[in-house]
Amino acid sequence: MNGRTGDGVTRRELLIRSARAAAGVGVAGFAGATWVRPFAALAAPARVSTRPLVFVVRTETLTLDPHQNDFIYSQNAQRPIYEPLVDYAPDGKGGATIVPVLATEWRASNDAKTYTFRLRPNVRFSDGTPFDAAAAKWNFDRLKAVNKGPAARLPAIDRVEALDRLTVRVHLRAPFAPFIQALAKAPYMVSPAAQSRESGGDQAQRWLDTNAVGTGPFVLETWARGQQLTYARNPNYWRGWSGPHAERITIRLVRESATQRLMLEAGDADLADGIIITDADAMKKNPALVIEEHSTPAQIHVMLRMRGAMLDPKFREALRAVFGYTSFVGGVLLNKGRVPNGPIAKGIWAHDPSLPQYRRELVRARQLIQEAAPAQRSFVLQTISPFFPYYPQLAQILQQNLAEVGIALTIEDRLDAASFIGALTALERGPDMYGWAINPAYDDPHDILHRTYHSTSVPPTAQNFTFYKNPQLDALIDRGVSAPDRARRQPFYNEAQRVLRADGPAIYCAQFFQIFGRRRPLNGFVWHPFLFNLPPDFYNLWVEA
Amino acid sequence: MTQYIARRLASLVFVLLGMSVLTFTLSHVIPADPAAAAAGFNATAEQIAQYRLEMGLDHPLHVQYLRYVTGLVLRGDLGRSMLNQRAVTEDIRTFLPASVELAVVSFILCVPLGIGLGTYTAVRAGRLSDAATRGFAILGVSMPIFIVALLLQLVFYKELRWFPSGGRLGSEFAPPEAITGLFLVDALLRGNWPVFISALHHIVLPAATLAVANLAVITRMTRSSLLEVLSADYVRTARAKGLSEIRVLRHALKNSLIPVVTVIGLQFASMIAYVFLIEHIFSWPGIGSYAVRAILGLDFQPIMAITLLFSAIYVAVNFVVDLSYLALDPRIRY
Amino acid sequence: MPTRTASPTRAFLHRMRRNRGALLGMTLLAALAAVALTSWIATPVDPYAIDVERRFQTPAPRYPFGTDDLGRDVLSRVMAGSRISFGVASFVLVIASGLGIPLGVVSGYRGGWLDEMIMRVSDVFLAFPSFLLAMAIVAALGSTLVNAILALGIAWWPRYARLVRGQVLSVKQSLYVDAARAIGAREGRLLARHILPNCVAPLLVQLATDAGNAILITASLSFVGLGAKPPSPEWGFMVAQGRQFLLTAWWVPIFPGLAIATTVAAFLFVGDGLRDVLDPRLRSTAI
Repeated sequence: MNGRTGDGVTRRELLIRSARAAAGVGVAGFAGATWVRPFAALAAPARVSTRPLVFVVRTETLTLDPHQNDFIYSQNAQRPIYEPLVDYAPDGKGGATIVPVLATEWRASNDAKTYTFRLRPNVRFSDGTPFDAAAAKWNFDRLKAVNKGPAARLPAIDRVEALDRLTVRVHLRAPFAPFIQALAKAPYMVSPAAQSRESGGDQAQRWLDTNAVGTGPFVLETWARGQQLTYARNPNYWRGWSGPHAERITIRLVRESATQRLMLEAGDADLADGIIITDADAMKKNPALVIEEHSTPAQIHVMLRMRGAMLDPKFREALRAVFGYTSFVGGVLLNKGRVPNGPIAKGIWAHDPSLPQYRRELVRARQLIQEAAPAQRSFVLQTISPFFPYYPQLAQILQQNLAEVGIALTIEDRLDAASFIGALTALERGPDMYGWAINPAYDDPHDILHRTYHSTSVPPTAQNFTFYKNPQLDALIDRGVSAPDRARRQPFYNEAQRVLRADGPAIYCAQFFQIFGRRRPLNGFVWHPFLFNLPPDFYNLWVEA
Repeated sequence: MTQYIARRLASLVFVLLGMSVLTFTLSHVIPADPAAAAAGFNATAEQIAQYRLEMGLDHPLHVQYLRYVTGLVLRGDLGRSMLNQRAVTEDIRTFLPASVELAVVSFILCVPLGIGLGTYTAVRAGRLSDAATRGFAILGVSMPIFIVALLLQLVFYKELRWFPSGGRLGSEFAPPEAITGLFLVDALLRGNWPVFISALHHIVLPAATLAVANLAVITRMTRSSLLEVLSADYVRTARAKGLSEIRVLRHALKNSLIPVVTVIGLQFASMIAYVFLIEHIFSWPGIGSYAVRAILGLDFQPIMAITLLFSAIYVAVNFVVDLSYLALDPRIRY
Repeated sequence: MPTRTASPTRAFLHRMRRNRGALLGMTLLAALAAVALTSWIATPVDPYAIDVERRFQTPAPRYPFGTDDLGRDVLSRVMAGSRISFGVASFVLVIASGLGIPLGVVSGYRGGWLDEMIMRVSDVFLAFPSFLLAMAIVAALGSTLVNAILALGIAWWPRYARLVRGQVLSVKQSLYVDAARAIGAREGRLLARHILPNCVAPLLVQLATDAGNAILITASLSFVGLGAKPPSPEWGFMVAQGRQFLLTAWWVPIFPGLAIATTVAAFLFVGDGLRDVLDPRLRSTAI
């Protein structure tokens, strides 16, 4: 069996064959045989392993419906099946570039309000439904009708029209410069045939929760909730199956980072997303493993909710001055990260390198606190360690820093997103501060600024759980996104960064690296800065036998 | 006898009712707005109001309780999880079998072994091997189960590579089509041997971890109970009459089993609750981690459902244990 | 009724000393209590002092148990944690027996509808595995250590109520109480002189076993996030937080884990010893 199944092989036969193959692998592993062939790629044509490619992930998939949830923990499971109109690919210089997927060409009007897409011909969903302008329109409409998280990533859409069989035009209500970038994240194209599964006006949400029909390279075989998802090739995939590709993929939930490491070392996993920094250094010594460790434009913030003492900008400034930035970035992240200089991380085009990096200024912090004289001396910080494994350390460093200036901090850690967010939806309830990882979904400052700090983004609309409202900042964000090109947008973002540095509802704690662990025989893993928010490209991944 | 069972059943109903009141009260003092959380963070104020109506949260507490109980009894409805928006019964059906399977296999491991070890130490009471076994038993009970799990994983996965690190099945297998939800049983029923072997291979470490604590308890119980019986008059009489030691032991063992069976029953019921301490470590997708997530997420419908479910299991097991006395001790007539 | 020999206390201590398990348990407990007391006054290093420069030091004379992910001394933290564990055990037992003993006395002594009611309510509490009930109570009250203690206390009172009630009933029936009543002893005196002393032996056994269990269960609650909060050096919480470093710094989770095991084992040894010494017929292994 050499990488060309799918044609004429029934699923059952495939299962049996892979089971046998796996049994063989198991025996080899049992004897402790490990082999490394670093130059194998140069030798004879590469052979694709017949056992499934195993990707271990640390967070649980919530839904397969990409219009309901597009956070990374659900996207891991969605992306083998679903494709967007455009996507990110590495540009070879450490950055990323937009590449066509289901759209082959696109054109923006001069006012950045109307976008026209030429769609890829001869693409079918795995159920046989053709992918065309009507299908694309259905997806835009459904995204809006479902109106959950992913819908909030796109600007308000006035209407979508199918100009001909393969051309769609999207009319926005207001100019939105980074629209193409945003499309990498939503909407993913679901087969419109799902419409027939609608029940009670739910836009087929219940059915698409556990069923998936897309245009992507793989089709879902099984989903054992809380355990694993298995995928087989989509035999009619539009890119075809020549060249080496994985035959089957298993995405397995392994919450413990230590277990993920053990599984990589033992060869039970090919790719792992939950390797922690302390393990990564030890794993680099293992020739069978590769640690993919890259700078990302992601930052970790402690967000300050606008009530009580937090209403005083001096107090917020004091909190930014008190945090031990170098203790955290140097001591805990082992310098796999950097101390930020504001809300926009290095690596996003609008980042302003002229601003100084933060540092701990205890004397100034004491003075500011004295001036602010907050009546409130005890605060609650809520974190969610499954999404950022260094929260416990971050929180305890801040706790100690605050104790030095006479402020008590209680730390509440949550295990899942729903309860974490549930506590934040009303300003009068919930914690005083919360940890928040700012992972830009695409290469633009608008996404993070608007989502996190704009006054219209307070719940239930988006994620401004601080309830921060600053008309000056709102204006900067709004004008920044409607200016047509980067040169004319930059000044607004420079000003926004200054405003947020002086007044913002956050401690900008650290920019951090993204770490993936993989086995050396895993090929096709390419890194780009937005991978943090987008799973790896499953089509190109394969394991060498 | 029938009268006894009827009486027991009546008191069982009382206990179940009491439990439901207790859990209902507990889960309704939870400081969260279930409607806001259920509606999700993109919900509008109207959607939240809609949810409040749907969930009946606008009614006074006792009315809510009555609605809950009638829904439960008439429709088997346990409400909806606000964390994942699924019906709680559906979630329980997804996650409970894994825990039950683990508990059952662990029991198959530790009951015969525990009774055997207990008998051995009782017979050799006072000698060194007795002391050693007792020491081991105490250690087994006092060792936190999560430490046992970590140690077993280090030894048998990392070092020896005998067993997999976790999960219910190898990555290459799809779960057998569900009949009972217990992979071992389903794989057998479907005649799918590779899956059966993989499932068996995967369950050994977590089941052994669970077994350690229970093995210790059962060993201790068997030993003390057997010692008591062995010192009883009728055993002395039997010995005096020249009955062989093996036959004496067999009689004594049978009579000493009652407290052991009680303990086994209680252990089994509470073990399912303990499962969750190791589910995380072994990536075991059971009801325990579901329960913990519900509790940390203040998701009150699943909390109530699971508390009720486990208590019901506990009560039912106790009931069965009581009945099993009949079989073990002919002197007991209800 | 306890035999009135010259000194029952001395006889008891003598028998405890002869019981190897009990001796071992007592020695361990004494040592652990000494550690806990010492930690009130001083620990080698401040157990809360964060210093990332010295994180993950391997166990060596300077840091016998090594240091953790934030450079805190694991030994000092384990010592400080022993205070928490002993505190937890005492509070749980005080709450459980404080509720349970009076209710048991009343229930057994008065009988009638009051007895019936108390026993039915205790049935309901006993119908939950105590771990589960504690979890549910913690869920309702909020996950903190204090609430975990309250939860266990509330979950366990029926054990004491039942135990005491049983003793009261059996003593009430016995001849010497009848005799005492016949000669006109007042009720309070009757309880204090005759009934309660008979409960002491089984109560001690139950308390010793439960002390160990209280420590084990609160550690377990903390392990899953339903108890202690950072920067608490509660043992179960230390294991939970240190678990991810098992492969690079095993000492971070393992030492607190061993501390739990040792302390719980010490209580169990003492409980077993007490059982053997105080009442050879009492052999129920309540775990």
